[in-house]
Amino acid sequence: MRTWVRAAELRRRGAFAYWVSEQALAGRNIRAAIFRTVTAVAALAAFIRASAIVMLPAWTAALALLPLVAVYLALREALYAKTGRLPVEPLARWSCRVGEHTRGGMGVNVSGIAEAVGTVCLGVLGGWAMSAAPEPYRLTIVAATAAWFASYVMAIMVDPGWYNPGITSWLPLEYLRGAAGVLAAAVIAAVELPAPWPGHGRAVVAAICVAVTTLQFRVGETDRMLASGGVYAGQRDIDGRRTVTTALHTLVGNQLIHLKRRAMSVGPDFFDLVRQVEGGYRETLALDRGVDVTMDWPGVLASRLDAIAGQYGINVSFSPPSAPMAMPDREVARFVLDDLTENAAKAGAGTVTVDLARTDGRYLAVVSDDGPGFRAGTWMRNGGGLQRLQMLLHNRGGGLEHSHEDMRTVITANWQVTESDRMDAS
Amino acid sequence: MTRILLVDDHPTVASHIRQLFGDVDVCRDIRQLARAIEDGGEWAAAFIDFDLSGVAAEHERTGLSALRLLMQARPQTRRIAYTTLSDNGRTLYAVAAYRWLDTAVVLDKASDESALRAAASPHGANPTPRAWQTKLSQHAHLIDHLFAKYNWLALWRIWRQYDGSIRAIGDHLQPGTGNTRNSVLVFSREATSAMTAFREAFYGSRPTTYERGNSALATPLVAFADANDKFFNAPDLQDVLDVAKPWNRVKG
Repeated sequence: MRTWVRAAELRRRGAFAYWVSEQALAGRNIRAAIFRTVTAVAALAAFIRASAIVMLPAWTAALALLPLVAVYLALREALYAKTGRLPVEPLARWSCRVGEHTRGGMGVNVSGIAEAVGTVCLGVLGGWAMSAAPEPYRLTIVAATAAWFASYVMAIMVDPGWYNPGITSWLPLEYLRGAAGVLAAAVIAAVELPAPWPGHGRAVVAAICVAVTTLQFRVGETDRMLASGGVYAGQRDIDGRRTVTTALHTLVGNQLIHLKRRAMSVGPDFFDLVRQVEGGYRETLALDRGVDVTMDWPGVLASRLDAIAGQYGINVSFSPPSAPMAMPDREVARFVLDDLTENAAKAGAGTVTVDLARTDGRYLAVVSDDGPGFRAGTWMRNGGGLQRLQMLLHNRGGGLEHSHEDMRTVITANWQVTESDRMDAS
Repeated sequence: MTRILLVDDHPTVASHIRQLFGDVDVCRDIRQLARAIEDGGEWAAAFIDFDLSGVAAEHERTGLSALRLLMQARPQTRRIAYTTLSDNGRTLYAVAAYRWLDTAVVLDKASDESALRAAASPHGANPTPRAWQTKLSQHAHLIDHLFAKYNWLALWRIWRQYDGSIRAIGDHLQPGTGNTRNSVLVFSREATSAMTAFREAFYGSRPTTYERGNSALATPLVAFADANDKFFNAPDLQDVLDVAKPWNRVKG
């Protein structure tokens, strides 16, 4: 049950859902405040009409009027969120200021508390304080109470705070939300049903309570709608990325393959430059793999390894460092991963495992494969790619080593993290 | 008969192949290939790319159609699936070419020139990389299981669109595809097994599974459908399936 509730929470919380609920909040609160004003006015009208028929204590007028103060504060706050203009009235101004700080979170605010008090006032008024009044007027006020309370609970349960991906709510709150409709109905039933009702008044109150339970459908429906919208937005995001990557692949991919082939005959410096371009090209193509794939994530380096895996038919796995890399380190990483993985593929490996990690101010790349290993005289042969890579790493305060362990060839490359990056990190 | 055929929409590739072999016929799409066959063209070997759409927004018929045409009209021509094998859907293209369209040679576009020369020699050694040859000979049949039922292609095509939500796909089933809510459920279960086996055989890693609300089974399928959407949405895939009938092969 706990897992299920947590899964429901994870599914609901997302950038899209939060953004939409935040954007919709001001308009929704205005409409909700208008709705609650109408219900409060309906209750007040029933109270006035009943007062004309039977004598009611003077304090009951306060119960009928207080909800109007609550909806006034709610309306002012909603208008402030919509227009950005603070009200001049001191109470409303203070309420808006407090509400501003609780927005998007799970905190209570002044207008929220006032509306809760308003609910209590209406609840007491219809069921208990007007027991001498004719039943239709009392039932009208009970119905207004139920409508008000349902609207109020709904506003709480679909508040942007529930969709904020930066929040993990307290588990009992999740259970509370999962049964909001039933609980809201139970609260109204607990207040109104024990009141003195002649005739069929109690049955009508029970029917009103049953109607309030359907509130749960609205909460669930809002969650489902925002979750589906999130999927749709994610797909459109991926489609947009894919339009760009497809164009890049179509317009540049083949030319780049041939440029690289030609660059080999021009000279090693130019060839290395083209390899860097190819690395950037491959990493850009990787951006269409998911909505959460960003340019600074070192995992996109895997796309060049995927290309090698595809070309030779081998299996390559890659575990990247978790933090973004400075551009000079990323360029070194491209050479290291590219050279070592392609060498393994050419040597006949079937599986290559690549680990790249940052520890103690150094990057450490460990590439192991199930190939036959280096034949005598092939490691660091004069003018070879490995010698060139060794020189590059040496200039970065690192080096290259190889060993043969458990039938696997293991090559370790390391280099110092770029100075500015180390400063940033510290 | 030493002429070489290239079916590819990229001039750069054409100029490279011409540079290598001199006498090359280039067809940019299936219409040109059909015309070349009608005109009596004969070739020793044919290099065939997967995506022949160029910069057109609409998908053109792919290399699958080219391989099929050549298999039927010029069976003696050595067919070479020649594409960037790591790109979207190309691994499936290579496996489909091998399994359904009798294509023995699979080469990546970054292959060196010696491999291309060997490929163009009809009776020469097969230059397909050793690891590829092993995988194809041992595991190519797994592609049949991705289409174990006739109506599965329709589901592969929409699976990504609805994020693998069985309920949403069930609500939006296209009439005429022969799919029902139950068949969607069966697909989500059986295609996941088939896809996992295919991935393990050709990529060597299990699909990443992570929590999604709709269905725990659905997520790896979405990732696979997404990573191969060019293949699943190839406009001529249904025609090739109708000929290859992988659903019958699975039964057999």
